[in-house]
Amino acid sequence: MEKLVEIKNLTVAYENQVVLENVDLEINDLDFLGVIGPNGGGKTTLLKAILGLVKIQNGQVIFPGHTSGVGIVGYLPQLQKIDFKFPITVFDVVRSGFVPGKSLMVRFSKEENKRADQVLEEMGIAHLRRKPVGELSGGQMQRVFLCRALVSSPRLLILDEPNTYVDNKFESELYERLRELNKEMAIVLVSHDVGTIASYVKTIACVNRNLYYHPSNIITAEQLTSYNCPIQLITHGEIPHTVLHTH
Amino acid sequence: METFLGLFRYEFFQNAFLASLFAAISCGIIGAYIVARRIVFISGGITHASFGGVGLAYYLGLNPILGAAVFGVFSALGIQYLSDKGNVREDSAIAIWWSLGMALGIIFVALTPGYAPNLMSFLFGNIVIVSHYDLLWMGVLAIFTIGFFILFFHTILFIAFDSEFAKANKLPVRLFNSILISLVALTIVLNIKVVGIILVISLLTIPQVTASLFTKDFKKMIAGSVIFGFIGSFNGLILSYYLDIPSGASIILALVLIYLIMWIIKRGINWRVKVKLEV
Repeated sequence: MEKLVEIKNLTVAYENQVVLENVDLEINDLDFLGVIGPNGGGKTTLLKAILGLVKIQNGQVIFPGHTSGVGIVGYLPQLQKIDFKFPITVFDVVRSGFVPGKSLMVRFSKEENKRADQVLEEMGIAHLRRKPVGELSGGQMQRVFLCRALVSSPRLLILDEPNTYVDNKFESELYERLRELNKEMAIVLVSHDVGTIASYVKTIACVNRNLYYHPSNIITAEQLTSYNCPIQLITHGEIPHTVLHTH
Repeated sequence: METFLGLFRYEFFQNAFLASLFAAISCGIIGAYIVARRIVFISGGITHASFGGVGLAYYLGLNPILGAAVFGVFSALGIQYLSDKGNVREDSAIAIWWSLGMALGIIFVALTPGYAPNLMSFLFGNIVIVSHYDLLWMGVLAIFTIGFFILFFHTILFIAFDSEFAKANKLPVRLFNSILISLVALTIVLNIKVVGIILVISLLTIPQVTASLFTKDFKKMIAGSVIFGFIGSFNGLILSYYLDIPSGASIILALVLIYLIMWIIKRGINWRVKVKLEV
């Protein structure tokens, strides 16, 4: 299996506060990794380290055969930080996904415009093409950003809490789509909703300052405890012995 | 009363006409960027800080616009640096810089012996006393801004919209932010002669708000801002001539009137569409 990302002995700190410490992780082609952990445990920081958005104190993030993740990685950020009132159209947001590998004088080819339309079509939002992002609902916004992440056909798709802002219907639709996409690319999915993602992911990483790799999507409460990964479990009725399981 | 076209015989009017055209272009483009990025308050801070440079230049016997440009660009880059660091309450820092600049300007002007400069023209502007020298730099700025935005339009747009995504894709986010905030400062400083320190922020916001009644696309917003800005400043100029009132104020008045008219037209369009849909 081809190795896409290799994280070795990674330590990241913000103003002397260590967020991630001695983290090792490998992401291989067609992996589907669920990243779980408590709030503030470093899940988003791990993604940002892969994307080159945070300063690394120690260790390395390697993309075998490439100098960086640009062009290989598609990224769906948390939407809280996006200014929804910014004057930009859906079509331009999606096309910004082509930026990797372009000169600063960005021009788009006919093929790229076609590809952007095709991705919008596949996501079922072709009719929103000319809309400003300010007129979209949360679910539509997520789809647009997913289009942006996918338009350049990345090898690795990284999603940070894609289930915020969306209704249940879109959520299950999204996970089904990810399952399809996983046939062509590796996926890293950060979520606090452990129960839901368990049936879709193949492997799990528990991140709480340290990272514990769990090579299966079935994980027990005891294992979570031993991984030092206290997460709030949404349970129905009796607390099940096995907290994550294929439904 | 003279005929309207007859006014173009006068050199001062030709200059004022060109000044309103250049102002509309640079303020239209840069103002759209300011409004889109929500840095209106930062721009206000840069504007008032630059008055410190005006005062210092007077004191040293230099060109006041040069002093304002240096102060403006440095304060712009300073504010940018502080907000990049993220460990300063940005708005209060800007407020301090805002008033400190004004205070320094007043002190330097008071300390300047002999000739007391016409401060009013810096505070409120006067488009009919714009010099050839000012006009030259306003023209250079307008052309440079057009060129920069045409060449790098998408890079500017993507960085302004989602700087983290831009950073992840190795776009030079800091470089572009620095160039653009410097352009903001230069646009403000070179247009001080037209509408003055107190009013220049309106040239950077009213045409943009008017344009955004009709479009939420950055490129169209820029084009609309330039057009509305030009109609406003030209009509303000005419108004100022015939009513013999200060040009800075009459330009702002014209810009606001255009906004109101466009708002009513927009309402009218919406109402007609609604009626059509209901019928």
